[in-house]
Amino acid sequence: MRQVWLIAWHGFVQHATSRAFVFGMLLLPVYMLIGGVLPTASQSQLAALGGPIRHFAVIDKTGVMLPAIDAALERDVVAMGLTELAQYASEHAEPESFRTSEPKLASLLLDGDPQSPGTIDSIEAMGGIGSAFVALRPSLKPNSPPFNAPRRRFIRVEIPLEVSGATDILEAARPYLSAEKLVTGPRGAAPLWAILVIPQGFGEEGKTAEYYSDDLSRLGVREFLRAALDTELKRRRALALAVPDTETGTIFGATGPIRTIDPDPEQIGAVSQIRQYAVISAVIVYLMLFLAVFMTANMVVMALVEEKSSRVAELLLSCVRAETLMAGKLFTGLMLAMLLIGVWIASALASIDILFPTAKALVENLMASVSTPEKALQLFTFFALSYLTIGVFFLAAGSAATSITDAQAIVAPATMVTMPIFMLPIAIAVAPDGDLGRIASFIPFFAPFAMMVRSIGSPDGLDVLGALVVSIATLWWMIRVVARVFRANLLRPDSSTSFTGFLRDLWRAPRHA
Amino acid sequence: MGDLVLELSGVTKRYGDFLAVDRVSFAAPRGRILGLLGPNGAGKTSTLRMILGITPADTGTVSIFGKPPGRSVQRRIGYLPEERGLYRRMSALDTIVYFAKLKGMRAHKARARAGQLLDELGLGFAKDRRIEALSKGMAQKVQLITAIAHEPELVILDEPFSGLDPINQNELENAIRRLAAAGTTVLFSTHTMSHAERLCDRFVILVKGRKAFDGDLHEARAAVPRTIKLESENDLSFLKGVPGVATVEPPTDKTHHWEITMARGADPQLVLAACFEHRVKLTRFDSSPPTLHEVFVALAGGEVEGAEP
Repeated sequence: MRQVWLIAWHGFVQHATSRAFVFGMLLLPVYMLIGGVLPTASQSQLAALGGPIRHFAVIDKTGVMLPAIDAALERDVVAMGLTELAQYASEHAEPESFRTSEPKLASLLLDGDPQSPGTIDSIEAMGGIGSAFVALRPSLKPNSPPFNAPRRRFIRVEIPLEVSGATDILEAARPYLSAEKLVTGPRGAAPLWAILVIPQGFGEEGKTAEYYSDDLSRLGVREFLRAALDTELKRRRALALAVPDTETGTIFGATGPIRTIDPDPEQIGAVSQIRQYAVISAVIVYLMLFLAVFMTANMVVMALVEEKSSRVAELLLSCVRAETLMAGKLFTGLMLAMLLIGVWIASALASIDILFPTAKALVENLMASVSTPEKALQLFTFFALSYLTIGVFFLAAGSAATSITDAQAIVAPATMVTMPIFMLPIAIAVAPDGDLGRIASFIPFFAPFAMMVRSIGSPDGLDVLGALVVSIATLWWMIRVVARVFRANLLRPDSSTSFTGFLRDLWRAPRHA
Repeated sequence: MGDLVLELSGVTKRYGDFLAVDRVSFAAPRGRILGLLGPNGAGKTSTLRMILGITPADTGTVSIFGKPPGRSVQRRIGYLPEERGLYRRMSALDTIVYFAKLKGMRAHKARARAGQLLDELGLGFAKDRRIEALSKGMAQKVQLITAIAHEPELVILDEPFSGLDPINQNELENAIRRLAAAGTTVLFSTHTMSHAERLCDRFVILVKGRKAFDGDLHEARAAVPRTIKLESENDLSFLKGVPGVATVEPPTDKTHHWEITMARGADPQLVLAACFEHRVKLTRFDSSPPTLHEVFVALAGGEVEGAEP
């Protein structure tokens, strides 16, 4: 055991202190950081530019619908601000103090539906979002962050004359809708997202408004305009039915408020966004572990080839048994992999506060899923078993070569042979406890990889035990077979074998083991 | 032979259809220097690898300190392979310490011993230098120290002198003598006869995988007929009639060089006396015993490619 440790530690120090390894190790956190921060940076940049604002234009041939759209735009700004203010109040206000000092506002923000017209009307009656925030401020917790009211989503711009006066509006609008030409918005030139044409007699039988846009996959503007037109048409019908105008607001303001409650906020729901995070987290973790396995296994194999070609292997074999050497090499790789993962996790945690919210949620979700010692141990165990299974195979392949070129000729196809083992767990990540995941947990070679992904979730105890037994049995058999090939190859320092020769050796080895 | 450190009995090794070692037997007593000689491809390295347990023998037995090769005796053996190989980026000191620790030595003792040996071989100044920064001769000394740092009882050196300049060869010879003087058994393979002749107490000569000779220098010389070298302008054919003369080789060119081969045990003085009787004027009479190179050539016959005097 001492010799195994000496070889493992020696290899670990040699690799871990090499510039190439350190460079490779730090590159992933840099990429992760760029990937995690860039969306935040671009979002900040967007916000600085005015946010993702959709500019639209309206050709209103009725002459009466446009004011209704403009009014709806203003209410939209209030509704958005209200939603944000309600969220802000729930996070940063002292509830008791707030309810005591501003009972009506507290009830609206903490208990009401911020999207409902009634709530919006009440806030407008209080003087708008600005006044509501001033009233809330005395009840804020110490060191609360500032409240940033959201910017408007939609801006109506004047339709260019060349479009409004054209006989073929679609043709005239095309350069604007494809952003070849820009319209003039409140903050300067901007692309035109959509044009709404409201015909004369709109709302009567057969009269339909037309909505032109270059992007019909995102229909936020259209739905907003439809709601504004619907409301105005209903108001006009009500007036036609002699309902007093003062009452129409009451009629259309009547809503069924809905409070949003998660019965078990700690539990990941089946259809929630967090559930998607869990799947993405599992895939990311798996890919990280997969990368660590491959990176280190390849390094160890190349080091072995170098030792074999430089005859150090012969000197080592005069000191230790081939099996001891193989075990030492395997543990070198495992230690390097653990170092890689440790650095990557530490980097993710250290930079968590500057990550893009989704990336931050992914990291937090991942850490929560392995937060208990039992779960961390489970993940480590299956990672180690996965590494050892693949490492043994790669070491045998590497031992068959006498030069880096030969090694690449053997290891490259060997990698392709093992690819299904690596790919299947990505499919399993979508439904870790589904039939595919459970079956794979009991199949030799696949079991540790499948369970590595499933360990991010909450696999059944029986599955864990089964996968453990299958993985250990597979590894034990692999070591028995491969150690023989490894030994035989190391003792042929002058001769290399082909990939097919390597497979043949593996095939024959069990008969002699 | 008394206290035997190493004993091979009928050892055979095949690589596919190629018979590398064929029923070889020999033994090495404690504290002696044993030379394993033979031309290239004679089976020397294969024999050494079987002794080390790196490759198993197909048939026959290898016994080291009374045990088969393997883990139980590995720590008592030091090995210098024919093809030198060390970790290029490690320092000389760390390299020696690493291998000594693999052989079971404690770290602090290995470090002290490595430093001492580096000083003894004149490499104290280079102990922290990387192997890749050392000259070939210096790296070879480091490799030798690697083989002996853990104070083995048996040191196996495969072609230790190859690639060394005469000064380093001389230093290596002295190091080997010091090892033997300290009671270490040394087994080294070479095809350079002069080193073997100066160093070895005993020789084993392998030819085509088979043992052709096993004994000391005296026995080696006695194993081949003695040759007398004469130079004279006279005709010496009459020497064929002298008792004990086996063959008389006349000059093949204008050098007047005659070679007389004596029968085993015959007295060369009889040739000299016959020359006096026939009033032959000799310009040279050399009845020196055969060198190891001559013995080697005689025993190996046509299989002496690569043998150096």
